[in-house]
Amino acid sequence: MGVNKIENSSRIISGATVSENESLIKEFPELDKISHKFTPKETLGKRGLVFKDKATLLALCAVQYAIEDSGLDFSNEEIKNTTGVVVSSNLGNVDTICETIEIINREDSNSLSALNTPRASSNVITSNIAIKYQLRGPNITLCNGSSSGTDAIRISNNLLNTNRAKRVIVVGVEAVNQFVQSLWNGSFRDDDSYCELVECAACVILESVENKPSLIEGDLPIVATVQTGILENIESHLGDLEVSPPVQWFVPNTSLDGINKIRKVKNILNDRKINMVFHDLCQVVGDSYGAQGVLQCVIGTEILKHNQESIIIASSGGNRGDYLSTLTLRKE
Amino acid sequence: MSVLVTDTHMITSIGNNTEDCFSFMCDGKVGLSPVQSIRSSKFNVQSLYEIDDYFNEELRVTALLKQVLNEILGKNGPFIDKRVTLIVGTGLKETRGLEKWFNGEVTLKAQDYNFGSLRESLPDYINEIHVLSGACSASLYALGLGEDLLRLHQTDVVIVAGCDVIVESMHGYLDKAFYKHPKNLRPFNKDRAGTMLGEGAAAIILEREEDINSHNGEGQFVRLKGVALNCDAYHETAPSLESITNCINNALLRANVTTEDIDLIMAHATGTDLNDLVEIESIRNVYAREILTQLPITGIKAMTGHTSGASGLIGLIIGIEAIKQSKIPPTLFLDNPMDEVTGLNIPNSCIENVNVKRVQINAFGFGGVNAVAILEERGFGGE
Repeated sequence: MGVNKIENSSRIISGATVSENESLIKEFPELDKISHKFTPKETLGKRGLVFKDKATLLALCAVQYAIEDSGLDFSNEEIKNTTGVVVSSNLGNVDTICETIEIINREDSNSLSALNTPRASSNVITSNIAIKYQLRGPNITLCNGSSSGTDAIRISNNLLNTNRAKRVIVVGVEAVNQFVQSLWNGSFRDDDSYCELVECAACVILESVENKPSLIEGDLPIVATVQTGILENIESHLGDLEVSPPVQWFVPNTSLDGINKIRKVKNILNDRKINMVFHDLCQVVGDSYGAQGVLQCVIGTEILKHNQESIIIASSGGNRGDYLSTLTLRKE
Repeated sequence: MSVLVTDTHMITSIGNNTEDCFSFMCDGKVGLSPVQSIRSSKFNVQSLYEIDDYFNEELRVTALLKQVLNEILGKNGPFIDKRVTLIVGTGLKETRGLEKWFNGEVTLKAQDYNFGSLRESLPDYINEIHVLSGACSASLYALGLGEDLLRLHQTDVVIVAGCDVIVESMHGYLDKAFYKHPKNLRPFNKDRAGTMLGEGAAAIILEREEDINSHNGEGQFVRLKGVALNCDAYHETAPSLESITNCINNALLRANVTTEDIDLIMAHATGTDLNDLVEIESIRNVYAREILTQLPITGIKAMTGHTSGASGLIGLIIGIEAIKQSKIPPTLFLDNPMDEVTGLNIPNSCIENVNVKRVQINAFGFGGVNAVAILEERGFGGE
């Protein structure tokens, strides 16, 4: 497989996660301030819930927290005109489709509510975010399977690098309901690498490195450089690096094939005396599927804020026919 | 840096390849038929623009996409020593498969909802695959992202694809919303009764012009000058005049052309009250009246139905054929045109022997996702 080495980069302004899973904060205490429980009524207000599916609500909550933390004024027209939205979600509207078929089974199309029409298309999440904050930049919904979250960040970088946007709100979200659970278990229960699907939303706000840093005071901004297919090329990406404390690598939930590849890279790095610490979010919270890449990025950013010299590598994908997508984060 | 479209392929309800689809469109063939792939008795509208095949497939749109990709990859691959990216734009993904899974009719894995089974069967030389779920502008959005990858030198060959089939859920909602139960799709007609789902799959190959061997000759390829992408951020289904106007202006800017340079507009023209009205008004916002008396504007959905996410790419391929063959397909069923198109040049029958050098293609989707692309004949004009 060819390797796409990409030099472009962007800056992470803020991030947030929304999840009921407490294991995340136990494992990564750095997340404490930006990790939230799912309380849509309190966060969005009662009217904010009407006719919205759960994936959309999770995403809207995560975006709201990230926007509040960003210190940016999203009522500013220039910001509205130049901000894009990229959402990664594989199973986002499964519940809507199944519930719709239930009604059609029982009766017919006349019993459907036309108000639910937008939910029949899974870009409903992305358009809801844009509508709420009037964000008129490119609006993209990716469903690339396991690598989708990392790909969303890569695509967002490209939007910044081609001047299609000056900042991008990136969200990864999967909602769990009876239909999704049934589909997930039916698909993967017998896999060696089976992992429960975890419901969560993760959001990062990226801006172009060409921009003067938007942060006023406080935390130093982080630079994210994005590469794909890095597994074979990790040595050249790390360059002449001598890293201490260790490089932290968020590994994907891999099939046996993927685990062999990781082992091979581990050996190479051991030879170079590069210390790696591995985090497998699937073991910590479960498989966040379309959200995984963005969740890795949020956690990695918080780790970097607390660790001066570290480097974060985050990989997702690499199984079930999905290729491996990777990004790296370094302090600016 | 110039980007070329080096090959195209498509399947719709009126033809199994690009040449046939274009030829039959110029003849005014309509792909309407009593629908077989869904339970027609559950709906008021029971004739749609269905592809007359693949009914035995469990995952029908995946099979259709696979067919189109196999065809174009078979003709053009393998791409030795090149990085290859596939980007698929779809409005509805494998929703029909999900619907049948829910009713216990087929086996479906979670990843199949996003063409997972297709991914595993594609050749190894495809390095990466992106699937955009982007409503009715999905495949033109995919085109824009593909163009960016080439301009950023992050890949060498981009296959842009679009695909959608008829699904019960979306057809059900449209069936409920369009209470006049349209018998056919009538763009720009005063009596238009709403949009109707169609089926289609399309694929094109994009490469940087500098990478194409010089012996491939002039005139065979068409240049992609630019794609503008934006979002209304206004309403979940209703379009925004200002935002669509901006998107058209932005496309012309990115393509470094003016309104005087365009010879054809492939309209989105879905046959709904709102889209057709807002689209014409936005065109009037951008183009001067004098230009619009001559500039052909055509909408092909009267023949193919609304092919959802595939529609943008299908419009693009028809635009390419218009350039190559100097022919423009008609807008059918315009017996009672809406007042807003008075003075415009919307052909009711095929226009032949017409000089078409540059084409604008529109695609606007639910959620306010807009994409406008500009094509140019190769060997004409500058960078």
